[in-house]
Formats: sequence, structure tokens, C-alpha cells
Amino acid sequence: MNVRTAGTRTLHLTWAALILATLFGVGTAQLLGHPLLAAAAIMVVAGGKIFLILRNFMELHQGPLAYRLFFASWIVACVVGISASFAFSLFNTSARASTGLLNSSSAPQGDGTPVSAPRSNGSGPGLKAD
Amino acid sequence: MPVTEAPGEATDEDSAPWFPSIWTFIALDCATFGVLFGVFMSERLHDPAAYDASASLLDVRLGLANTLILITSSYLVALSAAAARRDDLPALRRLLLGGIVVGAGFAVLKLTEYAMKIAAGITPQTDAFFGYYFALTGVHFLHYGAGMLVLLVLLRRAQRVAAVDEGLTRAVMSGGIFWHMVDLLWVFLFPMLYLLGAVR
Repeated sequence: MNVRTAGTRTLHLTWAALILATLFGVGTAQLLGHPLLAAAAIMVVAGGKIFLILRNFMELHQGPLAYRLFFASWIVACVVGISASFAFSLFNTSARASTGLLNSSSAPQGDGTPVSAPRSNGSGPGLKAD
Repeated sequence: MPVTEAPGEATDEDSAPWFPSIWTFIALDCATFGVLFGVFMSERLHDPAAYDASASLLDVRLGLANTLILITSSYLVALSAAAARRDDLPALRRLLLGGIVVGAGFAVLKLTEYAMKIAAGITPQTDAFFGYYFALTGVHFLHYGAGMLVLLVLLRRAQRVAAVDEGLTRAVMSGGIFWHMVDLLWVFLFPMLYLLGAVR
């Protein structure tokens, strides 16, 4: 099987880019110091991955303009909406903490038992899975 | 410099057929999921600390593995569509089978993850985060199941013919588009559910 035509080469490169972007996104979540920057980077990377899938795997770039515009808008709306909501929650939590309004939130432990949430300023590590 | 291609090979310049009904369905589905993402993120605003604490109970490694599985399965299905367009039936069968086998890994890991959560006493009733987690991933899993069924039907059809015809090519391309949508939705679900609660 010849898999080195121009079309399949694009698919190979797209797959490699998607894998690298996924690993970059996970690494960013774990390593980047600032939670807001990390969240924005994660969502922008996710949006870029979706663009690549739509364009190169689904061949949307050959579709009608209306559909291309719809999906471009959908990607931007999801990336901006999720990032903005995350940013707002950070500021909101910080503001509540600084004014002493933050009370104990409940979240389940591994056995499902609610406990007080350890994160109080939006930048802590939270509970561990194990 | 002129580039020569073997007859029937798919190139970047080839125009793909357009499937309006499939694309309209996908657009509506994506819009619906977009609303669900918005509802989840707005509900998260009420108690982000609790949502993040619950999110940290998810195993990022399982989510990462499932992302890599879906991307690779999607890649193999995209290659199978390219194989169909150049009338390469053996490659089409092989790549479709590869896409199904790799894609099956998603179900194994997802069901394992559900089982681990339920064994640990975590259910949709545990808290708001896990209610959304099970709902969003559950609806996505239904799409995944439908996508796997489509791929199996395509493979069966490819195994029953002696040569690739236009009908099979169009079926592989349109079925492939649906399968890519399953990947597409997970690419947003994974960071939203697994990663945002883990940022430092």
C-alpha cells in the first residue's frame, strides 16, 4: 500500500500534530505555573486540534462557506466561553477568599464521601485521585 | 516542479464529495454539545473549588489514553477513506479494521473508568460535577457506540465486495465523518472535565 501520496502525507502530519498537541495540553495543565494561562493554553490547543480534525480528517475546507463559518464560530465560542468561565471562577474565588466569604465546599473523596474542598484560592492542587 | 501522482491516488487537491445531511446533523450535534459545555461551565461558577476537587478524582492518564486512542482511530479511518478514493480495497479493509480495533480501546478504558468510579462509591448522584461527568461522557459514549456500529457496517460491506465502487467510497467517507465527530467532541470534553481541574 502506498501511503505517501500528498493526501495521505497530510493525514500523517495531522495525526502527529494532534498527538503532540494532546501531550502538550496535558503537560501544560501539570506544569505551567499560572492557572489562568494554563487553562487558556489548554483550550486554545484543544481548539487548534478540532480545527485540524475538521479541516484535514473531515475535509471541511472543501465544504460550503456557511458550514465553515459555523464550525469556526463554534470552535471560537467554545474556546473563549470555557476559558472565560474558568477565568471568572478564578477571580470570583479569589475575591470571595479575600473577603472571607469562602466557606467549605463539599467534594467527594475516593469513596464518594463528601469532604471539605482543600482548594480555597483557586490555585491549589485539590484532592488527589489516589 | 510538476508532481506526478499514480492514477486514482488521493491528493490534497482532490475535491471531496459534500454530504449536506451528515454535516447538518453534525452541526446540530456540535451546537447541542456547545450548549451542554456552557451549562456545565456556568454551573461550575457556583462552586469552582468543589468542581475542581471532584475533577481531581478523575484519572488524567485514562483520559489522555482515550484521547490518543480516538485520535489514532480517527486517523486510520481518514486513511481508509483515502484508500477508498484510490480504489485500494485491501488497504480500505485493513485500515477500517485497524480503526475499529484501536477505537474499541476507548470502550475498554471508559467502561473500566466507570466501573472504578462506581466501585469507589462515585455515581451521578455523588455531586454536581459527577452528575455532569456521567451525563456528558454518557451521551458521548452513545455517539461512540453509534460510530463503532457504523464502522462495523462499513467493514462488513467492504468485505462483501470485489472492488471499491462509488457507493462504498461515499459510505466510507460519510461514515468516517461521523466517526471523526466522536473524536471532535471528546477533544473538548477531555480538557474541560479532566484538565481544567488539574491546572496548577
